Amino acid sequence: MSSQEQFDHMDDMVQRLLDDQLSPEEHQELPSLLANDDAARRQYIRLMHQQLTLSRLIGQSATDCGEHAESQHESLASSLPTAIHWRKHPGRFVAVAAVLTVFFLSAFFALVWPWPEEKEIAQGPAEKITPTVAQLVRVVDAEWEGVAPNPGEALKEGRQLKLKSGLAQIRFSDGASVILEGPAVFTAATANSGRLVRGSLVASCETERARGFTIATPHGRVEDIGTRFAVDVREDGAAEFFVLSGLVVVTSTGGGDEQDPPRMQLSKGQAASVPAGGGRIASQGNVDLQRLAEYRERIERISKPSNKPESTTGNMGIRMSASAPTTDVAICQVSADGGTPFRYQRPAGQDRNPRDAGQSFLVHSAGLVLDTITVRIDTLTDNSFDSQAVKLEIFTLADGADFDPDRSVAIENGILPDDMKAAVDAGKSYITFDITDVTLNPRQQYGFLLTHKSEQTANLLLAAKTNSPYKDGIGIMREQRGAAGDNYQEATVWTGASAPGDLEFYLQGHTSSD
Amino acid sequence: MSDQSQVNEFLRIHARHEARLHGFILSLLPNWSDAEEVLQETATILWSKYDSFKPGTSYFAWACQIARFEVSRYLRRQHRSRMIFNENVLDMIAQSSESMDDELFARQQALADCVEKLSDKDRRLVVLRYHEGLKAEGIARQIGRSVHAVYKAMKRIRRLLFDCVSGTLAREGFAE
Repeated sequence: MSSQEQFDHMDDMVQRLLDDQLSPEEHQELPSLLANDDAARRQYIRLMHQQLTLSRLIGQSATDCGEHAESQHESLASSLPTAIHWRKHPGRFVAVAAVLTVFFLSAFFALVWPWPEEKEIAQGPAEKITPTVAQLVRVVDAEWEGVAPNPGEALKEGRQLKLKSGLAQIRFSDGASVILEGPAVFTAATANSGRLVRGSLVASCETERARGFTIATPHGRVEDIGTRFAVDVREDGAAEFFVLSGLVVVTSTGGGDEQDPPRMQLSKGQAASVPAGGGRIASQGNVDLQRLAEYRERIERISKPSNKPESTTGNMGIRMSASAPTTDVAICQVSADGGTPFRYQRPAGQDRNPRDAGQSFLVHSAGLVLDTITVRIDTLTDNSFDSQAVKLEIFTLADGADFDPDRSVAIENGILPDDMKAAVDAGKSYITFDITDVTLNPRQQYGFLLTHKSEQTANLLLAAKTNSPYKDGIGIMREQRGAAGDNYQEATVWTGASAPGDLEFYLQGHTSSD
Repeated sequence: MSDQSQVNEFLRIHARHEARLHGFILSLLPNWSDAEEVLQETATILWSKYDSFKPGTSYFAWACQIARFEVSRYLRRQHRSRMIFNENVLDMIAQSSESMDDELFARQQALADCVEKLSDKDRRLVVLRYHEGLKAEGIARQIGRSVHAVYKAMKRIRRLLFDCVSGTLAREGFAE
């Protein structure tokens, strides 16, 4: 084989391997090749590292580095940011490698400050792509300067919001959420960072994806390590930082010492400030209770059910209950399997890093009319699904190994309960979707898909189609958001990664008279 | 928990090695999200065992050994279908990776430069793929070409980058 052919052969296998598309022959060939051929093994390792480095490099570079190409050589490769972050797991805390301040990055941050309003990604000037990095989720009594953004509106990278008064909640694509109180000037900088020029915000970064969420202020920034924190920025640029829970790192920027700027770690209850102009970080001791109460009140005010997004409509009945349906259950799966639900990778070239579990269902009996679909929710890690709009779609599949929906047989819209999280917490973990009679054909394979409508891409998927052994069951498709740029929600929100075997689905229906 | 300076020290040293460690795990566990999960678990262990790390020895080698163990532990917890390589192959990949530490670090450094050298058109594809996270279909739509053409172009770019990195290393006197 020529070197080109050798490259191609191993590259093909690496790509298909990562896409879970290896042929049975390759499944045999690759391990023995790696075991017996030292050169092939080294080539394999190089190619894997290249894939990984590219994904980390590009994921970071386009947003963090803008056009500072001259600084990229050093900073990109070596500052691939890393950190420790504390993640709440059922019953335990886990430290997680995450985005964090690295030596080079601090120097580097000073370089790019202030961020340009709109940054160019490395590409021709004529075709600028501005990615969506966040979404305006809810507002309470919000008055805006200029054109008012609508709840549900996608916020592009670099979008600046000027909130005159009231509250606005912004959710970043990487999962962090910010409640802004007017008057405030705030920029959605990247999928995992924002810039507060003036005003006050409370940030919640409790999902795994949101680790390393950063809020920059004119002269200092705060980086979360899995937490809730608040930032107040005064007119003159001086900033105060408060930690409501978890741990953050505050860095003073623009104070002259770019190599090793002043930094301070704050844990729960602690506060610190950076003066106008930057410089020394002053510890403020503990957050006073009055302030804590204010922040809590803000969070509660915006979380109230009356503030559901105005732009959504839906009429599909959705209800929560504490027990599974027992009557008219036509098809169900109560997994006693105990193993990992089947997963499949998307076909080659599609979004990297999906973690999917999916199943379809096969209809045996003739004349089945579907009335409801019930899904058991394992865990809901936060209340971000409360009052959100969803779409339920039922579609046909060629067979149990088919991935692509052929034809929709039903599409229904609805709004998730206002108190969904509270209901789940209270033990009402079954969510039932009423659907207008849908007649299903016998011996036809179907799948269903639940899509969280308010995001810019379909990102909340329940039950899809599969090539798994569970051909007769109905199941869940869960997706986990990959590295920067992917638009998939955390899988654990719906199914609980810790107990992936516990999938429960119920289809209730009746038999049509004809 | 330990004092802050130790946290900082750990974070700093771990940051320097994390990308290669991530690559190491991905080569043992060739699935993006599995690898990320194990990376996180490994980081937890590394931090909890950081007291036992001997300064002056190779952090990468130390981390790889722990990661190697975590990969096995992860595989045992998962469905058998996740298992692509047997323990013997995993060991061989791990040994080779550790011995390639310097080379992999150099490759990582060189790749940033090589991405910079791509034509605007190619770099745009790379950004769409890796930054925007677009699928081949999405990229094809975005740039108005066929999906097949996108696959082909991505392959060409991977090859170009690989050769560019190898060239840089050869100039720097690395023997592959």
